[in-house]
Amino acid sequence: MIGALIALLFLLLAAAAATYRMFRGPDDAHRAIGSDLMFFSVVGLIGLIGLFTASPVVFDLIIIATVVGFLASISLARALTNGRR
Amino acid sequence: MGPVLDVTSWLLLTDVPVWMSITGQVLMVLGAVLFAVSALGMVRLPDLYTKSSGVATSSGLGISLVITGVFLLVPSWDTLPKLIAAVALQLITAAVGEMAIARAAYLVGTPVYSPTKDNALAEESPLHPAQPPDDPEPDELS
Repeated sequence: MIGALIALLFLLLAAAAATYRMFRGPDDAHRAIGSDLMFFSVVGLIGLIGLFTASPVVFDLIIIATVVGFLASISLARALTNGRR
Repeated sequence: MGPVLDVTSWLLLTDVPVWMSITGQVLMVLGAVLFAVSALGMVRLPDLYTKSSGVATSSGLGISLVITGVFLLVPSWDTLPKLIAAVALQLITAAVGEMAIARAAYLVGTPVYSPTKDNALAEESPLHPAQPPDDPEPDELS
């Protein structure tokens, strides 16, 4: 469990850096990258929560979050260019 | 006995064999270290494209290592196919998403860190606003 606590600390650090980049980012593209890192650290945190509560549901959540996160990245990329490919 | 003993036994919790517990925690810490490196890059790297590369690393490999570690600490035959599917999906889609965002950012003119060489996208999108066009349009009002 010590490893899980260290992992929790690092994931929170990554989420903090993503938040900093989302607030500070000079343009929308930096904010999109920051939101992506935030999303993936939240997925990791979901996995750790599943470890702490010993619930088997989290792997379903992680699969769904992966697919939805991919769609979110693609739609952020499309939104950045106003629909231009 | 006291709460200190409870915390200690929780910290050393091993419902699984010792090698599984140790391997799982090492994998989790490795994945989280990838996330920490990505966080450092998010703050320190010079332009958007390098940051995108860092996020793609952490999101693909980091998530895979973390959830593999979680699986080794709470193993069961029911979740094994879910784990395999999640890792495969993550490894396939993470880099694609980041590349899509980086390409879109290039198309809207996000500046490129100047020591970068071999700009292959410059031929695909010659109207990158960061570069002056060869033939500027004449001003209609003058």
